[in-house]
Amino acid sequence: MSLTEISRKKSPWVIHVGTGGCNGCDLEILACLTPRYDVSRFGVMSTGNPKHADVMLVVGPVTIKYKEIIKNLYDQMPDPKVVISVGTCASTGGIYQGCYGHCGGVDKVVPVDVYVPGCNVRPEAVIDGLVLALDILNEKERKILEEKKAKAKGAA
Amino acid sequence: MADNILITYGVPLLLLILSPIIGGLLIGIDRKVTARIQNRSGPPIVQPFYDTFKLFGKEDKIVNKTYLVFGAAYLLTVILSLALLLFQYDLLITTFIFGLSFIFLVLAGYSTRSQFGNVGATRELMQMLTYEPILLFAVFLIRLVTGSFEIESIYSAAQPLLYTLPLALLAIFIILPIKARKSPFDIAEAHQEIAQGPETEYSGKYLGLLLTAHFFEMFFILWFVSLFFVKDVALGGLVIPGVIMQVLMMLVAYVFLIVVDNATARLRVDQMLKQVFIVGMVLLIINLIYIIVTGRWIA
Repeated sequence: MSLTEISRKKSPWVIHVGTGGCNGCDLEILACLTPRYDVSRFGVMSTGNPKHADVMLVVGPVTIKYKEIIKNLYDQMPDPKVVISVGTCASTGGIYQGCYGHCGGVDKVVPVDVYVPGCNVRPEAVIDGLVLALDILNEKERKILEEKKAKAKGAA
Repeated sequence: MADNILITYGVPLLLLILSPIIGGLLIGIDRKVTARIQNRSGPPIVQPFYDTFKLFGKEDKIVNKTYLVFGAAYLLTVILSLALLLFQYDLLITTFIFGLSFIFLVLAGYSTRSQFGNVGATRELMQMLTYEPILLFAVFLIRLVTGSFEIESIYSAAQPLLYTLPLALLAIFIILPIKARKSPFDIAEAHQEIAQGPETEYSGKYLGLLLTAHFFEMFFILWFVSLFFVKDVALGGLVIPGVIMQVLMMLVAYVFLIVVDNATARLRVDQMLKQVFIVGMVLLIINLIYIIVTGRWIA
């Protein structure tokens, strides 16, 4: 493992996107930052800025109005990036499934890498999902590099 | 003679090379101590380096080329000002170049056309407006006491600056959190209000460059404060060398920064301008009167 890959595993910067559910999962994510669970020991920093973020935590059912915003935020994040859907609503649609203003889970809008189900999720589950996502970050970067190499070969 | 050259050029060069590592570790220790104060376990102390290396391995999302130039200029001017300080050049020029680095950051914020960048740049400009006159006044007082703007003259002065300029040091301590971007004066890059201020649009390795510049900056401000006590001091029969006093001064400033950072909440821009400017200027003027009355000044 190179130095960059080690440090990538040790410093995920997180952007937290609430799409407007019941706010139960939002509270559980905030509980992760408290002394009891303290995600900052993994180097997690909560940023409000998609340009600095590696990990996107999406909470709540995706409404049709919010679809564009999530897509926009996802596009602004620099590679390698990971999306975690937190809670049942974000993963499948949950209790809101079939509702008129609703378009299903987050995976209908942006590719999701880790699903953390639960209504509402426990902070331990969120941390578990985050740690899973850290391995995916490095895999993704390797894939991107391979694609780049293949492209360069094809061009030559 | 060879020994002399080694000390006058080798030691500053070594410090300049080591300063990003020292600055980064200091920021890491700061984060750890802050976490312990809040009863968290906190990130490891090498966390700032992890962040920087990660950013160098990320994709760059570039908005326009102008702000990249300003970001690089910010890093270079910070390094230049630190080099001038360590190689004992003119103190006035060092301060001006350090101010110039802030101006480049402001220009970077204005050139991105994002509202967060613009608001952050305006606030950064207001912060500069607050601390720059106080800093220059303090440098002017140092010139008055030592007789020269050269940093060498601080080393060759009869007394350490702390004895003649105690209130000026206090004024510098007040503006210290502004320069270190810490609470209560972290107005320009308030995470919670305006994403990251002038640094909002930076990503990937350009943000990494800015982080590196912050490491240099941290070392610069601590070294600047340490200039106030560079002389040997005799304590009873014990002679404490100037270097140790300098390290002690840096430690005091560092602990002060952490304590103030954790004990206070963020001020508004106008509150900062009023409070810092009035208190700082009054302290400096009292110090100036004290110097003139006791006749410690050199024309």
